[in-house]
Order: sequence, then structure tokens, then C-alpha cells
Amino acid sequence: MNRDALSRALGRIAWASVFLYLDVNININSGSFNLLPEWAGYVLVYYALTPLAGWVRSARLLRPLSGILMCWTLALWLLAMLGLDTEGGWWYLPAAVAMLLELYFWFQLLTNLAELAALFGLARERGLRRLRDFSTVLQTLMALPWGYALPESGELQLAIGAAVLIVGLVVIVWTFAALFGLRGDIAAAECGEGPTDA
Amino acid sequence: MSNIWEFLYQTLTVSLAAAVLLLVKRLLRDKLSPRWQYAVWGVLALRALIPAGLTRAVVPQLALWIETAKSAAELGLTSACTGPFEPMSITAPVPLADGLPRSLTDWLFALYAAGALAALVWYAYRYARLRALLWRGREDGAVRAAVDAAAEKYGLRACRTVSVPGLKGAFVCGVLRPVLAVPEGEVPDEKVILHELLHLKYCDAGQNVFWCLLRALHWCNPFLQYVFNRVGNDMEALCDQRVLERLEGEERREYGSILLGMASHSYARAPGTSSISNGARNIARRIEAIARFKLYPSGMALVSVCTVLILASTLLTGVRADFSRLESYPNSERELLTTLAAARLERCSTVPGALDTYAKALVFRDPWLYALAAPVSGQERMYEDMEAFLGRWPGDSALASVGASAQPQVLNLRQCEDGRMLAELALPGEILNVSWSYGAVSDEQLSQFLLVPVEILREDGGYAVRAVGEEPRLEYAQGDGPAPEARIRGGAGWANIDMYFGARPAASSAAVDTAAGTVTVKLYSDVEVRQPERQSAGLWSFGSAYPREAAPDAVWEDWTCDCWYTVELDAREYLAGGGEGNISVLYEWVLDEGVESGLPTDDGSVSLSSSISPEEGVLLDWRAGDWNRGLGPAGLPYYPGSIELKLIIDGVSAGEYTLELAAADNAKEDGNEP
Repeated sequence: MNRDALSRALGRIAWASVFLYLDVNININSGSFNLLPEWAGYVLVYYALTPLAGWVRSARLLRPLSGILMCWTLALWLLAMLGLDTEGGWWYLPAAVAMLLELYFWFQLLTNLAELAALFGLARERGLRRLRDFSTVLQTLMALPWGYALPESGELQLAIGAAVLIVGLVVIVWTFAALFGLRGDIAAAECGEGPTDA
Repeated sequence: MSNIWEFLYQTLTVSLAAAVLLLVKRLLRDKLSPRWQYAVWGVLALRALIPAGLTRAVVPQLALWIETAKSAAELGLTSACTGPFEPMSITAPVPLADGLPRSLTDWLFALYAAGALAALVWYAYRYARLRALLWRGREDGAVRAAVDAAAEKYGLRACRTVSVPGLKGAFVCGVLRPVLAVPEGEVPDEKVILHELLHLKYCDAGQNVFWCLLRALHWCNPFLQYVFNRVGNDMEALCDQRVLERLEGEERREYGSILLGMASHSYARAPGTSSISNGARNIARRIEAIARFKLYPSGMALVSVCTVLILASTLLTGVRADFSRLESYPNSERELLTTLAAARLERCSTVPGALDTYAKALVFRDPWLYALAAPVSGQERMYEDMEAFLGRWPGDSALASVGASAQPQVLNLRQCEDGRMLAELALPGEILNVSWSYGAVSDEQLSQFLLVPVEILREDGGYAVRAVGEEPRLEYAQGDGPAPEARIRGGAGWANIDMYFGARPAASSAAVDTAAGTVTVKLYSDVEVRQPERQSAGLWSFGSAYPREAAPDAVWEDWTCDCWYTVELDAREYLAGGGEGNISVLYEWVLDEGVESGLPTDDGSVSLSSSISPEEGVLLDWRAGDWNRGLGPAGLPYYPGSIELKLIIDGVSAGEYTLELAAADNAKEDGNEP
């Protein structure tokens, strides 16, 4: 298998996370223009999946999902530019399905990357799995309707919001470090065990 | 479900949930195992069991369509089960009629209920027939030995086995006393027995009974019948998965071959059974799943659980309705029905929210806000008075066309002894004196407030407000000049609520005659919704009540409540009658246990030196009470129930009194009976 192609693919995935996690918005008229659109991240991941599947076969299963998520985020990006509201009402169910697919997508992608790290005998494997589990649980907790259970205390909600913000920032930095670090480790690694059927 | 519309809403809600689950399952079918594929139907089971009316809608527009259609259809009918303006209230997922059919929609509901009952009877009949057939079967020693051997080999529990003539395949029948039935004269393959024993272990026959009950409840919904078929197939696919997990290499291929061999078997569904053979099309899907047995990505347990949790929270909790894009001023009967339907679905969920929304409805004569804040029982009157509500409300009834920076206040929110919640809305003259109502407010009234006594009602899912007495509205009368003069009619008069407490209504009061005159004690409260532009359905200060960017849901933390009291001694008669001396009234509030007074506001005195009354002989003290700092989200402002007074003349006690304060019914005092 082509190590250079794999290294480039990992670089794409790492940069994709930058597009997915960071937003730089410019307000134009009634809409907003995101300079780091999420759809670009999914385009990068889409083209990274084929080389990755050469080493971890199950990664090919993610191609349809990355295409769907790319279309979804592109639609949201265009609607945001036009200043159209995409919250609640009709958007509730599609947004929930997209969130669920995104959750699965990143869980499996990080699993595949951890398997890749294991192939190369990298200690980073465990870190990737920890990151995967932590971010999945965090996203799930944030998606649950806590409004029913939490008291209507402004201070408590502010404290929870601040805590979520801090934890979110930690996850973002952790993700960047893990993905860019994996690319560097793989480039520096001498040899892997070869592709896996997992 | 007590009428056909509620059934329609329930079955469409379940259908929507099923459609979402089918879509997600389709997208993840090659990624997550049959265990997840079947487990996710648990969300559908919960969705079908939870009445749609108990949760928010997954698509709010669906509820709006059905409510509007119901209003339009029921207007011409005299149904026993529902009325045109009666909100849907689904409290049980089963049909519960509460009257004999009188209209077409009643008969449709009766037909549905009869169909559900017939489906249940049919399933029971099928099950009874099957059990009778098995009763005639006989125990076969060879089959028994094979079943026991398989059970022992795989560590499973065996059950009674019968050989029945005419059967095409083995199946388990029964929940409490299960029986494994096999075709007479043949000993099933060990893998087939394993499949059936696994059904037995996981009580799949019992689950089948449950799904049959749901089938019966939604017997006339073909989409859900298809979905329930898929559920049954996923149950079999999961059982296949469990079998494959217990078999090794070549045995797995043989198991697939066995399934293929059953593809031509006919399949008759019966409740309380589980069969390895479930029809050609279903077996084709199961073969596909078996082919993917080793290809599912491993280590997906955590994300499997998380996706089910997210699906459950999405489909079981729904989303808050947002009908803010509805036409504010309906132009047709249909639009008015839609407006009223939306108001039935989205109620004001807090008391301040309801009061603020009602105030906006009064000032701008907005039918949508009016319907939102008013009791549902008043919708029929709104519809009958349609001409007043159709088209942009003419200037002869709205109190103002544009807003101002001032906002209304809620005075004396309180609960009376009869359980009613009362308050006075205070509409600032500054707001009312704009645009077409210009001239209706005098210069003096500009700094005053128009008082509107209101009653707050608890309704299912929220609060409603209605005026006690005549609602204020603008009217024109021919004056001395050539143009008609505008004036405001209704309400309970104008008051300067900022300065003179004696001039405004009180929440509770008491009076006692003393040697020096009558002592009157009054309690007041002011509730002010903070940031009303972000709550209670719209803006006060930006031109008009539009755009309505917010839901009518002012949370309790976003409003303030201040309490005040006055203690007044009217000593004029005493002084006129020759009474002399320095008069003082010492007072002390009696607070309930657990109420913190905060500031030192629970005692004080009225004396000649502290009088602020312009009238000689009237001694008045007013202060802020600090008793509502810990006001909870479900509470009303606290008012002390009694006060102790001590009259002192020239330093000598002239009497001690304990006054019990009673909630004031200002509307009654003003002669405005509801």
C-alpha cells in the first residue's frame, strides 16, 4: 500500500477537522458567510477515505455518509448565506438525522484511525479511542433534552454553558493534536503490519 | 384517543417516527449489526405507546394541519366526540369513545375502534386455533432428544415439543407455556432448533404479541403495517445473528442454505409465535444480513447506544411549535381557523408570559396574540365575531398602531380565596397615545396607566388571561369638530401607579376602627417582564409588536416582582371632634414561618412626623416589602396574611389590634363583575 497516499489522506482528515470544528463568519446583509465551511471538510474526508480503506477496509463504508453530510452542510451553508433560518419546525427531523449520522461518522472514522495506529504499532491508538469515546459521549449528552430535567435557574444554565464551552474547546484542541500527531507519527513510522480486514 | 382527529394525529406521529427510523436504519444497515437494527424499534414502541398529546410534536405543522382541518370539518357537524374549537387531548394510545356517534366523524371513529377490536379478536382467534392444532400434536421421542441435545450443547432452556401434521417449518408458540412445534415425521436440523430455542430464550413470542397489539391499534395505516412487518423481520435477523455467533465456519454456510431452502415456504403470521421461516422477501433480507455478518465494523457498541439515545430523545420529545410566520391578521375564514388552531397548540406557558402577551393583544388588537393569550373556550366567540377579526384590524378598535419604549406592568398578581388568580394590567398612556389613537389620551393621562383587571386561568399546557369587566378598545365619537374624536372605552380607569399608592388597586387589604380613626392597611405588588422583546411573542419598543421573534414563554427568572404596602390612619374625624395629642400607630407584620423578611420591612410606625399625606389628619406610611426574594418558578408573590397594630396617643397605649388581610377583588370593588 502507498504510504505517501496514506500520509496525504491523514493530512486531509486533520485539515478537515479544522473546517468542521472552527467557524469564521462574515456577516453579509442578512446572512453570514462561513470562511471555513463544514462541507469543505467533508470533501477532504471523502477523498481521504479511499487511501485509508486500503489499510482499514471498513473505512470505505463511510464514503456514502461523507457524501450525505457534505450535501447537508453545503445546503446549510448556502441557506445561512441567504439569511434563512434552519432551526426548529421542518428542520428539526433532518437536523436530528444529520447529527446522528455525524456522530456515527466520526466515531467510526476515529475507530478506523485507531486501528491504523495499531497497525503501525503506535501508542497513539489508545489516545484516539479515548478521544472517540469522550467526544461521542459529550455530543450525545449535549443532544439530550436536558431542559426538561434542569431547574430554570439562569445561574445554573450559565455555569453549564461555560462548562460545555470549556470542555468543547478541550475536545477541539485534543482532536487537532491527535489527528495532526497521527499524520506525523505515520510519516515517521518505519513500517506497518499491512492492511487489515477489520 | 377519543375522536378520529386524535387517532389521525397519533397514527401520523407514529408513522413519522417510523419513517425516520427506516431512513436511519437504511443509511446504517451495513454499519451497525442486526442487534442495533432491532433494538432501535424500541423507540418506535415507546412512540406508539406514549400519547402524541403528551409530548411536543416532531413536526409541529402536522398538528396545525390536523387542528385546522378538524375545525373546518367539525364546524358543520354536531359531533359527540369533539368540537371545532376543542383542542386535541390525547391521553391514551387506545380508542376511548365517550358518547354515541352523532356525526360523520363520530362514525368514522366508531369504525376505526370497531376495526381495532376486530383485529384483536382475529388475532386471538388465530392464536386459539393454533393452540388447538398443537394440542392435537404428539410428542416425538427423536425430536425431543434432538431438542434436548441442542439445548444442552448451547446452554439453552428447552420447552415442550410436539410434532404436528401439515406444518412446513418449526416454530415456537406461546408466551407463558411455550411449545416448540415441528412438522410431523421429521427431526429438524440442529441449527433450526437452535434458532427456535434462541427465540425462546429472548421471549420473542411475547414481543410478537406486543407488536400484534400495535398492529391492531393501527390496522388502517398500511405504512405502519409494512413497518411492523419489517420489525418482525428484524427480530428474525437478530435471531439469525445470535445463531451465527454460536456456530463455526461451515455451519454458518449451512445455516444460510437452510434459510434459502425456506424461501419458498408460505408464511402465515400469528400472534405469540416466532418462526424461522417468515416469507421469501423477508428471508432474502435476512440472507443479506447474514452475508454481512463479519463485515460490520467492530467496536461500535458505544455509538450504537448513543444513536439510540439520540433517536429516542428526538422522536419522543419533539420540538417546540413555532408558528410565528403565520399571518397575524387573518384575511379569510380559513386563515382565521388556522390562527385559532395554532393558538390551541401553543399556549402561554408562564403567568407573566400570558399577561404580557394579552397586553400586547389588547394594545395592538392582534387576533393571533389574542387567541394565544385568551382561554380556548373563548375561541368560538372569536370565530362567531369573525368580522371583527378578519382583515387588518381597523383603527377604530386597536389602542395603538405602534409601540413605544414604555411597557405595561402587572399589578397585584394574587390568588383569591375562591382560587382565581387575579391581577391588574397597567397599560401606559405613553403607548396608547400614538398614531390613530392620538387624542384619545389626555395630557394628564400620558404619564398615567390605564388599568385593566384580568383573571388568569390555568389551562392544559399553559395559562390564559381574560379581562374581568369590559376590555378596553378605541372608539370614535362625533365631537364638536368636523372629525370624529377618538376615546378609549372599557378598562377600570386611569391611575398614577408610580407615586400615589392610595390611588391604585391593592392586592390585599384590611381596616379597623380605632379610637383615633380608621386604620387601613394595603398590600401591592408590581410584576415586570424583563426583556419583553425577547419573550412573550414580540416587541414593545420597535415600531410594533412585529416581528414576533419570541415564543410566549417568559420564564420566571426573567421578570421582577416588587411588593409594597401602605398603613394609613384617617384621624380627621378624631381631630375634628376635639381629639388631641400626638398620635402614632406602631405596626408589625406577622410573616408565615419560613418567610424571610430580608430588609427590615416587617415593622414600622405611622405618626404625625412621618405623614406624607397632603391632607391634614391622614397619616400615611408606605414602604417596600422584601418578602419575595426567593420566589420560585411555580409560585405567586407572597403577601403577609396579618399585621399587628398598636395605637399610641401621647405616649400611652390606646389599643392593640391584629388585622387579617383579605385578597382584594378590585374588579368587584369597581363594580365590574366578570
